[in-house]
Amino acid sequence: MIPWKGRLGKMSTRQSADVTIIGAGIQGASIARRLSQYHLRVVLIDKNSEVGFGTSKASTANVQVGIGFKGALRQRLMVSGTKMFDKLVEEINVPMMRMGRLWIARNESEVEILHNLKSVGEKNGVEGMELIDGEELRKREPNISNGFIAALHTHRTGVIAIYELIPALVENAQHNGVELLLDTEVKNIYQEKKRMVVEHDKGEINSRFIINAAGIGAAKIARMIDEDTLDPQPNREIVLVTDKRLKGILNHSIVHVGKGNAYLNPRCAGNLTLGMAGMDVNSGDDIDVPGERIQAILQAVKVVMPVISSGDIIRYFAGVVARPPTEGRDYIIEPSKRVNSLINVRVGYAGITCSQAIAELVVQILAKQGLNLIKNPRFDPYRKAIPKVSELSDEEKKKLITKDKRYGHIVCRCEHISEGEIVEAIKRGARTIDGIKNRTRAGMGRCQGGFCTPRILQILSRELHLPVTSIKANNDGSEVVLSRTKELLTEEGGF
Amino acid sequence: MEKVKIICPICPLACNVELTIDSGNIIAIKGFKCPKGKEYALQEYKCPKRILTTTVRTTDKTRPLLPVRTAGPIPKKLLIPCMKVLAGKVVSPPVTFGQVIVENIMGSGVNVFATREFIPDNLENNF
Amino acid sequence: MNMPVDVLVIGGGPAGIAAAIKARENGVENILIVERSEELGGLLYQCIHNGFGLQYFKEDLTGPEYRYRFIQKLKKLKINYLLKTMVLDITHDRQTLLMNDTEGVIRLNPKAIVLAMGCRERTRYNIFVPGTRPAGIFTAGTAQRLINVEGYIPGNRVVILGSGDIGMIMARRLILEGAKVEAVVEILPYIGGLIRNEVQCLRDFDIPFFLGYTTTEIYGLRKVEGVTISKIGGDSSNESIKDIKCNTVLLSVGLIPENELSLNAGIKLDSVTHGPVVDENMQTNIPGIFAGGNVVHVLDLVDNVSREGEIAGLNAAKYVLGEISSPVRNIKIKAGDGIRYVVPSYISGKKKVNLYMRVSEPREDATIKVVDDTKQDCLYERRLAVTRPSEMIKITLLKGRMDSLDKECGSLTVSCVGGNDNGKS
Repeated sequence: MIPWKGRLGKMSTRQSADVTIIGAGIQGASIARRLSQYHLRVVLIDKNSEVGFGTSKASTANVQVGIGFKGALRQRLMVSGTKMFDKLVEEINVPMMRMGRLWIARNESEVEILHNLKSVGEKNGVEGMELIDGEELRKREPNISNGFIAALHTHRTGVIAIYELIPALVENAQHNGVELLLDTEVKNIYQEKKRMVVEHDKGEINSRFIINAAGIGAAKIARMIDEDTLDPQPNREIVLVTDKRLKGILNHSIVHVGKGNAYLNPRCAGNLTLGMAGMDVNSGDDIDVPGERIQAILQAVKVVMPVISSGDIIRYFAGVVARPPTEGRDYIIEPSKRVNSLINVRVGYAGITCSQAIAELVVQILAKQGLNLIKNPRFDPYRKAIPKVSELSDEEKKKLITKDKRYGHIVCRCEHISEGEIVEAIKRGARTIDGIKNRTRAGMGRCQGGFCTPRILQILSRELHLPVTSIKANNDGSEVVLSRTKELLTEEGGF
Repeated sequence: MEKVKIICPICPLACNVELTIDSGNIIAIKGFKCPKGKEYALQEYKCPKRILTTTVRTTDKTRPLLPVRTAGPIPKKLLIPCMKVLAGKVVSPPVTFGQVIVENIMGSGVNVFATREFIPDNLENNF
Repeated sequence: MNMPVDVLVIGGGPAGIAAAIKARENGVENILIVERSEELGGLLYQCIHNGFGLQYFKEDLTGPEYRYRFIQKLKKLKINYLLKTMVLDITHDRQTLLMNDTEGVIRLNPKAIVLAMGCRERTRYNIFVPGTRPAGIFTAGTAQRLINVEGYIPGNRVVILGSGDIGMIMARRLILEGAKVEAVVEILPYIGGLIRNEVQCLRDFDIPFFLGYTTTEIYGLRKVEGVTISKIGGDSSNESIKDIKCNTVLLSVGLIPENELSLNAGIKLDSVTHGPVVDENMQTNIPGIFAGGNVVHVLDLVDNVSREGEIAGLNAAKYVLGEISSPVRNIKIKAGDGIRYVVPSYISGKKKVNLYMRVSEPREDATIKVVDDTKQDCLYERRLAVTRPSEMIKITLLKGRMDSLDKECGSLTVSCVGGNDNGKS
C-alpha cells in the first residue's frame, strides 16, 4: 500500500489489484476464497465494520436441493452448489447438518404444489426426493399437527452455521493472501486506460476486474458505471429464534407450502428459527419488526407445531434479501454490458446454496475475460475452527486450558463460551459485539447478552487497546456505552 | 392557608398525610395511621432528607469504583451537589470497610464512608 | 481437585452464602461454594443502594454492607469457594462437572447439592417489544453492573420500561450520575415497586411516569433514537400515543429463575414460578438436591433470599448427616383463587412451616385462607389490609394446627378471598 496525500490534503491510500470484490457477504467471501487459489492480488472490501453484516443474517441458512425457487440459472447453481458443501465444511470446519426437509401440505391445492416441486426437482436431477402421506409424515415428525395430509421429503436439504460460515471463508481467503478492507465504502468507479479505478472513502484501488457482490447495494454500484438496471426489490425477512430447549421437537426443516404459511428450521446450535415466506414483498430496506408480524408468524407456526408458543421465543430480527430485478427473478452473474471488466453477481434467495457454484462460475467468467489463472501451489484450503471448549471431552478441555487458561473462564453463561474463544475471535478479526457473536455465539443465548456484554466490552477493549466507550455493537454509530461513570458530572471528563 | 399532601412510604398502607400550613406554620396534620407516619410527614415537610448511596473512583483498573454511602440522611437539596463533590474524589487502595471517604460532606454533619473493603494485596480479603 | 465435597453450593450470591454458612453451623465440614463471577455476593455487589437487611438485621443497609456481613461470617468459618468457575452440568445422581481457568476440569460427586443460581432478567424479546435492534437497549441489571461496577454510563437520555423497584432505583442512579431520565413506562395501572422508591426515585427528581402504557416501538438504526408508547385501551389521540426521544432504553420487566442446570439433572420445575418444585425442606424431587433463593421463585427482599438459603443449607446438612432422606410428599399445597403461587409445594404436616406466596392481583381488605381439601376445614385465616403481587406474603402454619389433619389429607388450598381490587397501589 502506498500512502499519498490526495487532492484534499488528507492521507489516503492507493493500491493496485487484479480483482476487487465489493461486498463481503456469502458471495464475496466465497469468491475471495476461490480466487485465492490462484496467484492473484485480490482485495475484498465492505462498507460495514465486519464481514457478513448484511443480508446473510436474515437467511434461513439452508443448504437447499434444487427446488423451490424460479430461474434456470439459479436452479442449476443450486443443484451443483449443494454438492460442494460437504467438502467445504470439512475443509473450513463449520458446522452443517443434512437433516432433510419436509415440504408439507394441508389441502389439495397445497398437495398440487408438492407435485410441482417434485417435477421441477426431477427435471433438475435432484436426488433423494420422496412423496409421503400424512401417516408417514407423522411417523417422521411426531409433533406435527394432525391436519397435514402429505409431504415431499427432500433428504439432502441441510442447514449450515451461517454466522460462522462467512468469517470462516474470509479467514481462509486472508490466510491465502486476500486483503480485507472493512469500513470501506465505494464512492465511485471509473475506467482508466484498460483498468478500473475503485474510489472509496479511504483512498482508491486500481484493479483489473471488479466483482460487484454488494447485495442490496449492488444496483448503486452498477449505477457508478452508468449501468441502468432495475433496482432490486428487496423483501424483508423476519426471523423468530426459539430457545434451545426446543431442540429435538423437530427432526427436519419444515416448509408449509403455500402463501402465508410458516417455515421452521432446526439450526446447528439447537435453536429453531421460524419465519413466513413472502410476507413482506418489496419492502425496501426496512428492518423494523412490527408486532403484528411476530403474531402472524407465531400463528402460522402453531398451525404446523402446536407445541411451540410465544414463551419459547428468545429473539427476533429482520433482514432484507435483495432479489434479482428481472421478471423471471433469475440470478444475473455476468460481465456488465457497460464495462465488461465489472462482473455483476446479482443473486437472491438460495444464495448460500449456490455460493460455491457461483464462485466457480465467476472464475470461469474471469478466465474468459482474459485473467491469467495460475494455481498457487501453496494454497491451503484448511481452516481450524475456534475450539468450543464446552463441547470437548474432559481430556481435550484440560489440554486446551493448560495451553491457554482463558479457555477455562466462561464468559457467556447461556452458550458456555469461554474468554479464550472470544480472544481467538478477536485475533481472527472480530472487533465488535456482533462480530464476536457471529464467530463464537457469545450473546446468542436466552439472556441475549445481559450477562456477557459488560465482560465482552472489557475483553475487546483490552485486546484491541481501545477505550470501552469506542466499542461498537456493529457499525459506526452503534457504540455500546456513552461515557465513563462520573464523566457526565465533572468538567474535566472523568478518568 | 395551603394544604400539603405527603405520602408516607414506611409501610404498604401508604397513608396520605395532609398538612395544613398557615403563614409557614403547620397548624394541622391528619391522615396518618401511626406515629411514624406523623413524624415522617413533619420531617419531610420541614426538611426532606435522604440517604445518598453512590460510588467513588479508585486508582485500581480492576476495581475502578468503590461503593460508598452517607452515614445518615442529608438534606435532599444537597444530593446532586454532593454527587458532584464525590465525582472529583479518587481513592487508592487499601480501603477498609467503613473507612471515611469524605468527612462532613458539604457541611451536612454527615460522613461518607466505604461500604466494602478493598485490599488488593491480600486476595483472601477481597472475595 | 481431589477434595471430597459433602455439600456443593451452586451460586455464591446471598442464597448460596447463607446456605453454606447454615450447613457448616449444622455440622458439615466439607462445603464448597461455586461462583461463576469474579466475586462472591451475586447482585449485592452491584446493588449499592440501601433498603437491605430491614428484616434480617433490623437495620437499613446498602447491598455491599449486607454482603459484607455474610462474607465476614463465611471467612470466619473458613468455608471454601471457587470463583470464575462455571458448573457445566449436573446429573440426576449429583455428578457435577465444573470448569475454571486454574483447576481446569473438575468432577465432583457431592453428597448434597444446594441450587442457588438466582435469576436472569426478562429481555425485550421476551415481552415482544416491536421495532428495530439498535445499540442502547439494556436490561436494568446489566446497566446497573455497567454503572456501578465497570464504570460506564450506557447513555444520557433514558427511558425505563417497567416500574418495579429495580427500574426506579436505576432511574435515580442515572439522574445522580448526570443523565436525564425522560420517562418511566409501566404497563399496569399502578407503580410496580415500593412506595418509598416511587417517592425517592421518581417524585424526588420529577421523573415523568406513564401508567397503563405499553411500548409499541423502539426505533433507531445504529443507536436508539426514541420509543413510542400507547395507552392500553386508548384511542389514537395525542394523549394516548406518545413519542419519547431517547438514546437508551432500560428494561425492568421481570426476572426468570435460571434453571438450565436443574433441567439437565431431571429436576421438576413449577410452571408458574419456573423454579424447582420443592418441599418444606427446600428439597427438589431429586433426593439430595436442594434449592433456595431466586432460583426457586423471585423473592422481593434479599432478607427472604438469605432465610430461604438457610433452610436449603440446613436441610442439605441434615441430608448429609442422614437425618432426612427422600422428598416430602404427604400434603400438597395448592394455589387457589386469587393466589398466583405458593412455595413450598409439599409439606409433611408434622412440623411448623412457613408458606410464601403472591396474590394474583392487588387487593384491599382481603383474607388469606388455608383450607384442608378433604374436610373443607379452614386451617388458617389472615386479614390483609393491602396486598399486591409485588409483595411476598408469608404465613406460618404451626404444628398444632396441622395435628387435626386427617391421615388421608392429601392437599391444602391457599386462596385470597373477599375484599376489593380497585387496582390502586
